[in-house]
Amino acid sequence: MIKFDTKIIESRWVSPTLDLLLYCSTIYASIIIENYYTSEEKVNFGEINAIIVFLCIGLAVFKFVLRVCEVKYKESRGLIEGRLKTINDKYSKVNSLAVRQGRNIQNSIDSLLENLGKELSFEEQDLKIDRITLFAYQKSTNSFFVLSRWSLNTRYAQINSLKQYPVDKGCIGKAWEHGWWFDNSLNLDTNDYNQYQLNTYGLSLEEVAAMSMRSNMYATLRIRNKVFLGILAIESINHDRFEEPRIKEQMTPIANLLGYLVYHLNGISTLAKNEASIEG
Amino acid sequence: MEFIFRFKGKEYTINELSSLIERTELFLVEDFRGYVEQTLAKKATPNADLSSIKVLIDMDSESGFKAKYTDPKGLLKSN
Repeated sequence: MIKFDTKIIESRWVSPTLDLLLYCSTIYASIIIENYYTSEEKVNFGEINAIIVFLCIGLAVFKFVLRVCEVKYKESRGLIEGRLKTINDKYSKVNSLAVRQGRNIQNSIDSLLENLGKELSFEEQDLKIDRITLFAYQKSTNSFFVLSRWSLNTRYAQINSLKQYPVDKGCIGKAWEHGWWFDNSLNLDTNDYNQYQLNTYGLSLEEVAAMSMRSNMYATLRIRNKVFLGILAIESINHDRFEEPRIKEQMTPIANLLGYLVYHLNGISTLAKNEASIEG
Repeated sequence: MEFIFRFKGKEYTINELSSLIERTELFLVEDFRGYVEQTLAKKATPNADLSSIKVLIDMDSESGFKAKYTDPKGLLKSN
């Protein structure tokens, strides 16, 4: 049994070699015909042969070039297809990793807020009067979105699921503008409280009424990692619950860690937008 | 604009979806929804009423979010 190597067929030399053989055979046939008819008819077979030879050489060169191009094209196509497959595989891995990391980020953020709450001795307060909230800045809507909230008081821990918080209102708006904001001067009766919220924070009577927590103390810190990313806010019903220097000192390292996490989350969001398609 | 989200083979409104996924995932979805809204609004004339436009955001696709919209009143320019 003869072993046939398919690589021979795929070689760029096969096709032109076959063509050359064919043309040589034609020329040889032409010469035989010439020898046979020269004595009887006055036809210049020499010139015809010369033309055939030139044509054959031209065709052979042309076909050779075509063949080279074809092989090169196949090589390039194979290379591109291979690269595309690799990119697709990598993207699928990145995508599933992003989903997992999104969940990991959530767990990490929740843990950090809980730890900060414990560090600030939230648990020692029988009245459960404090809460911590992480607001993330959402570029597409130019507003804040609550990423996580922690409080021992279940009512204060509730999140208005889809609420978008304006960047220029409330204590978060102040921190967004100044970097740090501390206010413990809200221990006021209802009328004065509402007026204070309107004058200081730009919040209307309806907005104040809709608040789930009537806080008398705000400590808010802007989080950043290369860019501004959001706000870490601590509120308390008790206006003298915390001292400004101490709470700022305790919030800062947590805010830095949160900065890394939210920055990473923004990276996932950007990836999702870059890879997305919008079709009609 | 009306947004519907396809998640694990079923379709949900954003309110329904918000109780099914975590806050960080909801952040990504909301950010993407805002991005789609902005992109489509740019295709319409300013102040046009885009309430007739329905957008389906497919979260199940392995290659990232995909948004498909229907524009029955032809409010959006093709380019």
